[in-house]
Amino acid sequence: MIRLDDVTKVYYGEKSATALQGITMEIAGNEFVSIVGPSGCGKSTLLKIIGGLINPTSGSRTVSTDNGPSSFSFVFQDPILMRWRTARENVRLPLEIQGCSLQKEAGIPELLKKLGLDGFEDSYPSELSGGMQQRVAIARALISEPTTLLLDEPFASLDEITRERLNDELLQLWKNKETTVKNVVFVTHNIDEAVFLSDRVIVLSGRPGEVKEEFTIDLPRERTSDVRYSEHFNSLRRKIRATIV
Amino acid sequence: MNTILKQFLPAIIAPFVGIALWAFIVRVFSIPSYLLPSPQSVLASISNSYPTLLYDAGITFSEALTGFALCIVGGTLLSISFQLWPITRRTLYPYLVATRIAPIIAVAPFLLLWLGNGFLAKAATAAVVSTFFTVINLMKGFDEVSGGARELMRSLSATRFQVLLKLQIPNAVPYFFAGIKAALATSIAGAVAAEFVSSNAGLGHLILTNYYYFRTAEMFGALLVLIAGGVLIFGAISLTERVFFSHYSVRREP
Ligand SMILES: Nc1ncnc2c1ncn2[C@@H]1O[C@H](COP(=O)(O)OP(=O)(O)O)[C@@H](O)[C@H]1O
Ligand SMILES: [Mg+2]
Repeated sequence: MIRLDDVTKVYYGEKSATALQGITMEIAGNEFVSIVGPSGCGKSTLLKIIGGLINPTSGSRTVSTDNGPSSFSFVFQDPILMRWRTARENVRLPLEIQGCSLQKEAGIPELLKKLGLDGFEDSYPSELSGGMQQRVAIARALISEPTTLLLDEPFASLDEITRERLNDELLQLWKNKETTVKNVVFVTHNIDEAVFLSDRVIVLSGRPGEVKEEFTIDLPRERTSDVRYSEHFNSLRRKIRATIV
Repeated sequence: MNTILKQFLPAIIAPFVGIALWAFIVRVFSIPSYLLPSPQSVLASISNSYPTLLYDAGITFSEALTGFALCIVGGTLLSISFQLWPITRRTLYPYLVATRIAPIIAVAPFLLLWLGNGFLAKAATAAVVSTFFTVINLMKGFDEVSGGARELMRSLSATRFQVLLKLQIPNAVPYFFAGIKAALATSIAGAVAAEFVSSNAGLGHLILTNYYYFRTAEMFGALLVLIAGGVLIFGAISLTERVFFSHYSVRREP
């Protein structure tokens, strides 16, 4: 469980900007949470604070260790693959940095396969499509066996069809408990995507970013692509859209 | 094969056209040979004296390449230290710029004075004047790492040293090659300049002594050998980059 209490973040500079103000939220175990809001409202900042990549200016972040230690992995909007490394070598990077674990390294081929990358293990990023590159980035995030996966608009630069396919796959991966991931925090400005994937959607309002509203997505957990066309899906979508001006 | 031929054909044909033109001009305007010898006489002088030419080329290129090797090793170590300890960058960088601002021909006499008239001073001149290129290019390669990549490394809790090793150094590979190509040219210039100041062998020595006797054809011969050797080494560097480091090329940025 991760808890933020009255978190504020100010970026100091020539023009100081309050990116986040008074954020209080809780992310429980086994929960898929999306954060939506217009661009510039502080979504990325919030995600980095949740993941401990940056510290809040005030307020606190607590990570409970009741269910064992937590670890965080990020997936960013750009895949940020190293052009001199093959898919396999890119996925191995976290292991090289965090001290090699042979057991985890042995899991690379299976993980690549799970993400639909079999046959591309030895391809360089320049030889992969945008969707494939992002799959490699997700594999790289999963290889260190995190408990929390933090994704920052991971599919924003992909075409609609590829994005839907990756949404489906991400959901499968998460639902089938094939990974060590307990929590997913997913930042997006795409409401469809947020509703489709999440248990809960948090809407941020912009400048400074504050929690505007929260929605529990009570769609059945057994979601297939078809859910997107259901009545309930649409009404949730509409409700969320209405809160964002 | 066809495309390779197309790419290099102009470069192959051009000298023949140039040489023909040169022969033509020398003949038509009957230019005295001490000003501009005919290509035939340059060729004759090369074939007459090729054992000495080869010997002198060996000397000059071993000076230049020793300096070149020193500048690669020294330049790489310097740039890495600039990255890891910014204080070294602030302290030494201005002096590094000074080594490049100072004219090569003016640097050489000092090194000859301090290191003697032989091989060592020539290699040192070559190294001193070319280190700058290795360093500034490597520094650029280390610095031009995207903010996203730095953030990724931070999210993986990479140490400063790991960031350098896994991200900055590989990123700098194409910059390194650009840098050492420029450094190669100045290494050769450094060795020859030092030979001009004081020497009793080498291609620079050959050019200078022949100059005193107006033996222009011999001067041309020495110059051509100097250029041919330099171009050959340059080609070897380019080939090494293409064959072994093609995946580091920025053109492959996804
Ligand atoms: N490193 C930074 N330095 C200064 N200001 C920043 C920095 N990162 C973000 N900001 C500012 O904070 C606000 C929120 O940014 P961000 O969290 O990236 O929003 P979002 O991800 O929702 O687009 C923006 O106004 C942005 O300009
Ligand atoms: Mg953002």
